[in-house]
Amino acid sequence: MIEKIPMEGMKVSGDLVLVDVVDTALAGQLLTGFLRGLAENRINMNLFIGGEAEGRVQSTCCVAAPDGGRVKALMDPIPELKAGAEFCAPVDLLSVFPHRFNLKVLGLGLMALGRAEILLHGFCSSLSELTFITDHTELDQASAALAGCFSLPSGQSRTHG
Amino acid sequence: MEDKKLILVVDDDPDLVEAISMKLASENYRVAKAYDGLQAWDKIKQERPHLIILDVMMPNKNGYQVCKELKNDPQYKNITVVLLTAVGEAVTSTNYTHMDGKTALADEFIPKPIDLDSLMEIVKDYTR
Repeated sequence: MIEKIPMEGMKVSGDLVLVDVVDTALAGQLLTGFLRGLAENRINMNLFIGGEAEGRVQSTCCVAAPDGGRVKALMDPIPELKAGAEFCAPVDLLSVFPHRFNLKVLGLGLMALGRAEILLHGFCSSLSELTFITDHTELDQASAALAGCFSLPSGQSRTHG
Repeated sequence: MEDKKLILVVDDDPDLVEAISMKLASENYRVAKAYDGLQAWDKIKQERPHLIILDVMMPNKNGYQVCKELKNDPQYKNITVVLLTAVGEAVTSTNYTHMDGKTALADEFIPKPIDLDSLMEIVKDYTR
């Protein structure tokens, strides 16, 4: 029996498109241009994760489903960018908070989702939230799995953000 | 311990709540947190804060509603309310209006994105 960790809430941002971009250009110029395009077109990102390894800049971002087509259109004129991009939809962001910089929160969350055989597209932490990117079709199972290892305030088990 | 003033921070963005809370704690305030309007009322009744930093656009009960109810309640009307509002930018795409803000009777309005130092100055002014 695993002891539940008390959390203050769980938040869901639903109906999103996940966009993975691998940029092999020097210093991530393609990615910079892509992000500028999003800003100029006022396309809001619900999540952005960026990193660099072995000369490749890799990013994952999530936008609202209705903006997915606009993001594709932004990439169309840039073949190098388009070639390194992958789209996945629909996905949800499932966040628990606050993580209090406690690695046990991450471990328990990953174990719970793994046991429930939830497909995980990614995860990240911010100042307060630990966020898992899951398939929209598995939202209820993923929520239930996390609720099984974190104790949440009654009536506040899931808020939509 | 009791000399430290209690500030309630209410926003549905947990990262913003955390950032404001960390800043307040570093300025020697006690902090309570809530993530929607209903949780805010629970905390107000349980902990009776000196000041509330209150977001407008939140699930369950929005900041205008919480503020209006608070300011019309003789038991709580003296609690200072600082409203955080992004309504100026979002007013064309939401049901929130500036008129709601004016009738909410908040003591201060701070536009989002917030400047933490300016917010701290306001908090200090009202908690002296």
